[in-house]
Amino acid sequence: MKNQKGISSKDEKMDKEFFDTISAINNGLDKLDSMDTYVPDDKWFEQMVLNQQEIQKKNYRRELAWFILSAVLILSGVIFTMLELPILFFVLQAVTVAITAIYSYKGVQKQVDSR
Amino acid sequence: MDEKDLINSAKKGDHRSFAVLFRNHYPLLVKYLMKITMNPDIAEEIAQGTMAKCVEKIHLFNGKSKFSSWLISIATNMYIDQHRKKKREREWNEGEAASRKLQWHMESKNEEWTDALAALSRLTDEMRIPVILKHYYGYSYDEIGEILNIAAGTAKSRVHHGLLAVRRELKVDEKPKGNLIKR
Repeated sequence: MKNQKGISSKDEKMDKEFFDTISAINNGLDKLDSMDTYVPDDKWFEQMVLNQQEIQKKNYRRELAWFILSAVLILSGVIFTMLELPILFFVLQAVTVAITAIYSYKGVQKQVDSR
Repeated sequence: MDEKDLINSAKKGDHRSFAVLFRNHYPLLVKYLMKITMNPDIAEEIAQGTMAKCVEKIHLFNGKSKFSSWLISIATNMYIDQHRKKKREREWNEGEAASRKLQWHMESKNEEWTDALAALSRLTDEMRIPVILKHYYGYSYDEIGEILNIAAGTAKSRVHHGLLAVRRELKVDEKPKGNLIKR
């Protein structure tokens, strides 16, 4: 059965039911919202931020130290082989270039196959 | 100092500005988390985690949305991540116990635990969060999509199904509570 606007009474009933459901939900959530929440004092928040900033600084220092240590190790290895074992150095260079080229070629081939 | 100035000095590392921002937004954040988690303990835990993450990521806040919306977005994702990690080890009873605790908490403050709240507490998180964001906080489907990292259409569908499930619970509360909505 449809009214003059072409909206069936079933749809109207459904809309009303949705509206009532939303009102009931909001009503319940309002009650939850009206409860008092314990808010810590300013000092607690300041201390929490200071602690967090300290943790961040520590993490940053640790990551930087690891980065520098790895860079030093890799560079000393490269410089040592270049000066003391030049043949090994050039072999390693050639192998690295070859591996990179092979992997790049295989990657392109996979992409073409998947299309 | 208005919120914009506070955010600017917080970005420069001023801990007092952070503290003022957090103190102003803490009640809103905890109450929001209480609604989506239905668990007062988890709500406080995630609120503190959200603030810690905010200190770390404040440089990423671009001011396009409100600061409160940004906090809500971080808190929601943090809850979803935590929930995903604990899903396997968590038992169904824990969810029930948590919402019973909230119910007790409300009743001890002379607030009524309504049927709608009970029905909402039994919805899955993926339905409850969009329903609350849409119909209580008034976010658009696009904004909900951004907060939850889902398409706006998906958000709309979840809100619709969530409402249907709550409506069904409210209508037939004499029948055994069904399979569609479970925590």
